[in-house]
Amino acid sequence: MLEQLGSALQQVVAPDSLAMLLLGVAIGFVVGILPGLGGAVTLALLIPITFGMDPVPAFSLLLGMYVVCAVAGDFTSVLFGIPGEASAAAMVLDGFPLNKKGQAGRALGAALASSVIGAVFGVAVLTALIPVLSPLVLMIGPPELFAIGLLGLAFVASLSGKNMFKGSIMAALGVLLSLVGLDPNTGIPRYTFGSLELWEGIGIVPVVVGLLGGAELLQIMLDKDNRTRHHGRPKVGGIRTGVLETAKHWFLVVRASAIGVAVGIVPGLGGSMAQFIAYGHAKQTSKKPERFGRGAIEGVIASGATSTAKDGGALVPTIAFGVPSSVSMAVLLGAFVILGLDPGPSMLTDDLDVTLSMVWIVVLATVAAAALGYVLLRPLTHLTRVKGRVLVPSLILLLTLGAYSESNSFANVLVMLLFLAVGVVAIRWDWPRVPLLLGLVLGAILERYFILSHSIYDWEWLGRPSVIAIIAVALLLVVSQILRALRKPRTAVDTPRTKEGAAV
Amino acid sequence: MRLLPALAAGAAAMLALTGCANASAGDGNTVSLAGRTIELIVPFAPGGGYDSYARQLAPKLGEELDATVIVVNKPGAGGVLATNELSKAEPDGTTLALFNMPGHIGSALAGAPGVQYDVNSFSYIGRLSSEPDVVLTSEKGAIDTWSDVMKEKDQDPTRFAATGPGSNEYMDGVVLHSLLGLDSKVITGYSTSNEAYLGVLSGVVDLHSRSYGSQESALKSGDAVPLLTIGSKQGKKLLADTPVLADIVPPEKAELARSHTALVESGRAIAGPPGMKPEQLELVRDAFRKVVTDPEYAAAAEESRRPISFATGQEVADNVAALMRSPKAYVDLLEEAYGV
Repeated sequence: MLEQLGSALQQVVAPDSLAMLLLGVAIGFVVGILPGLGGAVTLALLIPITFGMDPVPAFSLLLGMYVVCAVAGDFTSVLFGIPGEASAAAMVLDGFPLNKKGQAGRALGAALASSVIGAVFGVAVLTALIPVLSPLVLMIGPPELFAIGLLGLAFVASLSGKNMFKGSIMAALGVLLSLVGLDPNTGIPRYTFGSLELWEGIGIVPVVVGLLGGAELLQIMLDKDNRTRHHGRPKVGGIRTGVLETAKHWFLVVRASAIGVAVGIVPGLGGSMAQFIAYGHAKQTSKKPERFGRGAIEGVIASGATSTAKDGGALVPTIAFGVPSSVSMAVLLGAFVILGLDPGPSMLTDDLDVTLSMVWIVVLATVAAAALGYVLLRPLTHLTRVKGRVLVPSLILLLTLGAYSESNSFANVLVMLLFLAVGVVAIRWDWPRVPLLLGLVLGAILERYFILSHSIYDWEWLGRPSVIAIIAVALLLVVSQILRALRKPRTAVDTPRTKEGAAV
Repeated sequence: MRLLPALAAGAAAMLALTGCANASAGDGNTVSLAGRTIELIVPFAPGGGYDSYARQLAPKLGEELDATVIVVNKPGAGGVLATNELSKAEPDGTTLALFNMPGHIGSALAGAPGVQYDVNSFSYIGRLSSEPDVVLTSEKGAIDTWSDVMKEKDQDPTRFAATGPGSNEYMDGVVLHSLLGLDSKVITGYSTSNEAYLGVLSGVVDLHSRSYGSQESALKSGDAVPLLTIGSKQGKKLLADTPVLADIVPPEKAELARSHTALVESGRAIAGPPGMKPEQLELVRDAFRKVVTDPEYAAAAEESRRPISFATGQEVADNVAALMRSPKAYVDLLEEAYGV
């Protein structure tokens, strides 16, 4: 295996592969920074370029581009409070408040460092699991997925800021919204009001873009005297602090990466869930959970590590079975077929060198992206000093295009605007926004796998040990959070509420 | 303000990426599409067979028409959304779509909700591919051949894994149940066909039916075993040992099996909006034919596992018309498959 790892590295650093890798990194950086413009669409556009290429250079371009998107997206999240990618929305929650405090450098340093470690961790797990990939993925069936969905929902409380009640209401609202669309079992349209656009449900991308990004922008615009924005030069010098803090919180990086990989491995859960679980977990285990949402560096670290680690996990079912767990992975799978590779056992035997070269591509591309990010950090930070009346319209334009381009649908622009309004209202009256997102993502998962489990196993599945174990963990989590809230001294509530302290 | 040019450049790049940029329009009287931008709509998300076929075709078709052909993914309502849109688009040759013909015709036959188009009215350009559906099972499971399925060794009903009602794989499950009198049911709710396949692989569900192209990797890898072919297995070595649906149905069901086989084999076809000018339709049909019948193109397509099976636009239109006259019993089956 070690020998093959070495030969795979040689293939990746061969001149043609390396050139493709660097091209991929450059494209990925731009795409990642532009909010909403997703990696999946760009991957699809790049596919024709790879016709006739050898597998390793082709994957250098595609996979290199894709993993860099997640890293570059952190810049948009931290500097403008807009998630660069839907699966990196959690970075906004603490990265942006840190920026408002003038600590953009510290936040980005931590984000870049944790992203690199997360990526390396992700593919390291992939490599270590190669001998047991297949049985591992097959162990997880619909009942386990349903239980994992419940576990995710248990994090709502810790993502709710100060008010668990408000958080639960928002989560419930999210679950209700997830019911919009065709019933997955009978095909009957629900709450679609005669509009075919709603048949496939409310898309997560326009909701994230509107609820988190757009709402934040409108805040800037409505604030005539720019109170919410930091004046003067953002401290870029804090980069090293951020990197060192990541090192200090190494165990958190490992745990967040592990969550990312675990969620990524399971087809059907999707990457947007991993970040919130990791973020909720970081808050849950922090000694000072009240700082989360106001600029806690642990929040940045957990989100950064998860956003790249999940891709290592997502490669597992794609390589092992040809079952992609996201649209991006589906496009990558298309590349497999075009390049004449058969996902499945042969990827772990005859074509092992290609599989291992992907490991190196992820590592090298992330490191290159972090280095590029380090160099560009200073100029990019200057962007935040642009006046609101110039910045806001430009960004709104980008957000609109982002919401549109995901499925080339104007309906998604309307969805984005609607959730932008919801977001502004939520900020104004201090209702947490993230539980709504989590409810929307998990509602669909819970319904789908409940019905599947029931039609496959009737009720037997509720007695499976794995299901009982996961649900028990979820219950423990809920109980511990309630106890913690009850025990919390009342004085904490008296802390003067600042803009930064708004619920996430 | 160095930022503004940067942002403007970014916005311009995005406009180009999302296909908003439009080349100057030609004058209204000519049928030529030279210099125009043609949208080739794929009614599904990026990734997967339809997207790959379209992205392979677009540049070549553009060359042939001296135009720019861009691929636009418009997923939604299982393809019905994009089809409805195409039915209302300007028939000037600048909007084309790649259809999943079994779904396209099937949902019209069944009178599925949401269908706002007359399936016969489209300007069909030509067929790009046609392949059989293959029913497969896990290599590890108790079932080895189709006769095992028919013998029903198991006490429990045989289970098909599928995404949702109206999908090609759901249709196959319903049709096989009825035509062969199987004790079977379709388990629905998988989010993608790939996930449904994974359900079979893990032994939770028995069977999955899908087009040959999307199953080829699984069959080659040895993880999955082919059991039954719906359509022609000509030239497909992996299917050599499987029975063909049309050969194993009882005589009184033969007509239904023929209808279903024809629907499955209607494959992937390119179409324009209803009412394209005859000369322009000929122009586009001709360009399409030249591209896909070019031996070099066909070889490259074969190489990338997206084999071409060409039929002329007229043949596609005739086939659609014939399928729309399917026997009542078959329409009833499709209605069941669509949950209508």
